[in-house]
Amino acid sequence: MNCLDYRRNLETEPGRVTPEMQAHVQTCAECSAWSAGLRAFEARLQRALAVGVPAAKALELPALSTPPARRFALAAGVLGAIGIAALAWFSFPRETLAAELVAHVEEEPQSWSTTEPVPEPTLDEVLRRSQVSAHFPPGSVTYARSCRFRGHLVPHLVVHDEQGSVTVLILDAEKVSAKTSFSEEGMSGVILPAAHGSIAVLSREGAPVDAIAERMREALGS
Amino acid sequence: MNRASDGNERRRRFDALCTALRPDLFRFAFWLSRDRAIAEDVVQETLLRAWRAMDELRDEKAARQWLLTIARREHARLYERKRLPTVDVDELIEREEPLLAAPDELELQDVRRALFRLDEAYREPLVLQVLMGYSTEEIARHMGLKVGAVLTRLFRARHQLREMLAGETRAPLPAARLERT
Repeated sequence: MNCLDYRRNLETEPGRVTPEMQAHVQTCAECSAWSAGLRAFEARLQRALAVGVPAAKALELPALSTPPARRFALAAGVLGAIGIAALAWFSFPRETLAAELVAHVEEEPQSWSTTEPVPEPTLDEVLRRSQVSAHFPPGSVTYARSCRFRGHLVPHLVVHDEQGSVTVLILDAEKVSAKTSFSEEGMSGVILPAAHGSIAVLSREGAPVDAIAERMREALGS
Repeated sequence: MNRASDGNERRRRFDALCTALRPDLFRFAFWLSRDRAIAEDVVQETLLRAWRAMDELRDEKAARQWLLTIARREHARLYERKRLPTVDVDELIEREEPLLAAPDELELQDVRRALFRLDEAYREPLVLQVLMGYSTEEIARHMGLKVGAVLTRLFRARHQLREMLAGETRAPLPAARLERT
């Protein structure tokens, strides 16, 4: 290792000193002095980044379940709104479903960062909970959770296909009459009718979701 | 366990997470936006989303990465939604002067000003590495980049910072060793 490589490596990852770098700095006085300067710079940088944090603002958290006492009061309002809501629903059902799918996927960002295949028993359990049967290529599923979506427990999977990674949600309770494509919040996706309900396939990497969705539908035996 | 105690337990877990991770969240949002008010909005939106999705967080050790990923999207969404105007960096520095030059941290002022001038593409990985302790691989996953691209950005970030800090003294490379072997 020469001085240039040593300095470039240390300047890129100051916390990572390999045995080769260690060997170099022990024999190079210039780089040893330079390293001390870099360490001082790093300490200063760290302090500079740690700006003061203002006091926390009050955070009003929405209730996640409706208390029984309020249900009757809410029911009247809900019934009154049903006519308008139904009109909106039937006018834009797919847009609403797509937006909710994107919001749901965004709330599980860790789903994209896992790379280890999900063990088959885990995947089977996730599918079983929603009474879904599917056959994915071994090792292709890297994320599998049972998620609550629109009141139903749905399998939320990340599947590595030869054309890219996609998020798949199997929506047995969501019936759609035709294929719908959408693009929201930097994600592209498609919702396809399936034997029971529908299947949603989303990608944030520009993967060809139409082609992959067809293969996912085949995996579901639809 | 009944619904009320479920709710209390959820709230207790959430409050504990917020207390522990809010400083990181604010600092990350601040260095993304370079604007204290926007950073506070991003933190609030992030925590609301996290509250709704709390059940999906199975491993609390991953909570910080989970929150920072949500914050990153919230920051982008805020700019998309509000179509915030582009602001001159000198104006930003002037606006955030109280935070950049706290009375007991005047010696850090020049580094903070240089950080403000650093391109966001370089600033974000640097913050994740230096302040959050992310590995290069974790930064790559967080930003959707290849590891090589992250390394390049980290190198350029430090290089540009040091260039901007005129007072910084550097030991020059021995000329004979500049050539790659």
